[in-house]
Amino acid sequence: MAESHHLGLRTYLQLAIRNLVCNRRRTLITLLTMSFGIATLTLLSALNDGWLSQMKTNFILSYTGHLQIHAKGFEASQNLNDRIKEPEEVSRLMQSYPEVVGWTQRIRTSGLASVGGSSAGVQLMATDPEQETWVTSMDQRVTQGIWLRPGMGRDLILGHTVAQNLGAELGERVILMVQRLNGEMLSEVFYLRGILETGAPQIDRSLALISLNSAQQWLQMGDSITDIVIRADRHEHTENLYRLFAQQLSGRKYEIMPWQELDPMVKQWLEFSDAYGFVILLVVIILVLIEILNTMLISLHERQKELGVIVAVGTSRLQVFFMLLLEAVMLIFIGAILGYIAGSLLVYSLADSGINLTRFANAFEFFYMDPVIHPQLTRDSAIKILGATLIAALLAGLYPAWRATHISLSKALRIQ
Amino acid sequence: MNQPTSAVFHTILAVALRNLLMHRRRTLLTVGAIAVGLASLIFLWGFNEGLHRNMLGNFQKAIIGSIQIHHKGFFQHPELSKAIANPQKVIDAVQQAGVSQYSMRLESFGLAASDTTTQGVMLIGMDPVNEGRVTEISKRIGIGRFLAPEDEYALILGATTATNLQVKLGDEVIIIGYDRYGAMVAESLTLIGIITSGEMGLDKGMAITSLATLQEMVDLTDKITTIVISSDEKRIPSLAFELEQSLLDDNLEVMPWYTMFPVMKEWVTLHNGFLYLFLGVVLFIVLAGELNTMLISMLERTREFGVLMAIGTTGYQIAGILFVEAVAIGIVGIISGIILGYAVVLFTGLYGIDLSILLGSTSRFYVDPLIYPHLKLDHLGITSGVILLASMLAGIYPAWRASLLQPVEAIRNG
Repeated sequence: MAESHHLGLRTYLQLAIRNLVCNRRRTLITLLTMSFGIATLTLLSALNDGWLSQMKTNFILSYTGHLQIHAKGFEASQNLNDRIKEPEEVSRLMQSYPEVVGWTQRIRTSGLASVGGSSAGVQLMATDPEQETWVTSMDQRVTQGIWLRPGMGRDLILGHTVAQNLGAELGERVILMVQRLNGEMLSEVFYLRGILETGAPQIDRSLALISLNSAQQWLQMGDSITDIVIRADRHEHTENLYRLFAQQLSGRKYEIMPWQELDPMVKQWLEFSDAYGFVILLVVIILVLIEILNTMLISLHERQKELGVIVAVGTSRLQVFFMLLLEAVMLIFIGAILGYIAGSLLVYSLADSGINLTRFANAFEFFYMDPVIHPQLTRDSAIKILGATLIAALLAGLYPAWRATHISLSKALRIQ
Repeated sequence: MNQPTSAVFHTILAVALRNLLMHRRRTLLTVGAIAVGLASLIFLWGFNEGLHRNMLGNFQKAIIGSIQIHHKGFFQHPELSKAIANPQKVIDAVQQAGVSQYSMRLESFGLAASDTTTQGVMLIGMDPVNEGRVTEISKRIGIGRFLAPEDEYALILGATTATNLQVKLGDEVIIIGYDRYGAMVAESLTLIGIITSGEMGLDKGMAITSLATLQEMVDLTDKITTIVISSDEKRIPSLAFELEQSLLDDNLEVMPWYTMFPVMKEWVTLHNGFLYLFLGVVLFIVLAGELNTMLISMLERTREFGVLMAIGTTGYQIAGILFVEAVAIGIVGIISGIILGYAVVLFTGLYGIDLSILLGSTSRFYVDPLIYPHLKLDHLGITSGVILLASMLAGIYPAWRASLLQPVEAIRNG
């Protein structure tokens, strides 16, 4: 007995492996439960992450870009007096950062659009027709008519809802009214060339888009602009670029804003979706944990007689505990690895084609949600799943093993 | 073996039930696997339903109400020439339909101008008394107050508009609009309240004044463009239909919120689609867990079956016992799952689930920080059916194996 207390890890390992191999059917079924649980968890969390990241991308590409640079105070005042007078000073920096994949200059101000008798308040935006396409996908969101043509100064594009409210048809004359720097009201005739539908209500409801050159002439602003909009190659590089620009540009003259600050509503919406997904995933994680625990408990329950015999021949209860624990931990880790691999394979096979939810809603994008979900594996979710597996190993390993050491010998041996 | 069939069946049932009761621990574990799975599905539905109800309720109460009635075409092209011709008749019809929560508005486009700049706005003339019965706009006013009946030329703006105009409470704001002939009119209004809802569409692009003020300003005495009705979500379709029927020849449009803002409806549908995809996968986890627990427990009983066969029970009878056991476990699991799920939804529905811990702040996208799950059982039939089917499957395989057993081998190998 003395030596048996010093059983090496090797012996335990051998015992555990032998138990698992001998009882192939039970091992297989238990493994299947675990792999299945972890695989589905992987898929679900990838679906959730893919969905969220698509929303983020859609949002950034629809209007705001990753980062905007304004003259200090412009975002709050929306006043043309807070403008960037020498855009050169900022734009010369664009070449030096490889993270910048596109940038454009814009002028933003509010105004009034009228057609015939009806008029509507609009957010007037002037941009460079070519450069804009490097930053946002607005040009692809034109559902009727065409995108702004370079050199055609009277082209106008309206948001879907604005056009509807005004009753404006393609080709029609639209009168835009804005305030110039000195407060003087100006009005000018434009021709409606395209109608834009982004699915984001606040854009569709208010946008009036013209080309930058014509706006600069019309408003007599020279070269000055209000926004420089930057698109980064990856979402994660936004922070980085923010810091780089903040170092280069004087904080007294400019404000640099990442997308989260530009539209707090969307930030809230993303946070909300995140919380929603988290609640659902949490329930699923708990469910998977319980199923794993359940399988381990039931499989031990069926082994009571075997354990009784082991204890009866003189194995200490502590040794039984370690043997069972090792078995469970091995099972769970093998199951988790298999499950994670299976889940990842499933995710990769679905990632390109996506899962189409158009059946549930007409191929419609609202609030940047895509009806086709492309699952995506992220490091965060991998850590989440790993964490869940660890907890599962602890719970499903310790508790049943501990219970098993409390079996009553006489009862266990009597079991048929 | 010559017993009548009904007696055999009776015995099988009795033996199966005794097996379940004798091995209480095993039965509890298998039942538990099913119950927890079904309960979590029920909870997830409830959570989703509660969230959507909360969201749609807040969306309607924010400003648009449940149903709006306008002159035909006004919603698409809001022009003052499309005022409601005979408001009294519409109100009679609304009252006849048993609705007491309604309010009248006059809506038009305009510009709000301060000393520094101008903003395009939707001008809304609201009935200061009745508006509170329909929407909760007065609760969204964080600075200042809502309109009072005696207010004249008072104005409420959204926080974003007010910031952009650089105006504060008590300041004069010039409101420029068009009267029904298209002539420009301008009035100076005093800012008495600022909406700080943080919600899309409320904080920006709206200027609210009293109905009487706007009527006077655009020279449309006693005219309105909109009647807003608040109603229980379930009654909206039938109420809209009823109103449409009674106002058939008045050239009016009766629009429930989902006709006015189909995107919101689509959003809910798409969100549900995402959830169903999720739940479909969760159902698989539940089924796999159930199948596994049952298979393990049944396959470990070979020796027991050998003994049973040795004393003369046939393979088919053993298969019958196993099948009955599996179905009984399935049924008990489903029932306890429903009870457990019901209890969880009721409990969380009573106290709410605090999303603000996750969100870090209060109202977000029409969602209150506290979500009250709401029971929604319209998918329960299918889910329970699928779970029961799985438990039958889990019974059939071991039953089939048992029917092939040789007693001697079974006893030796068990």
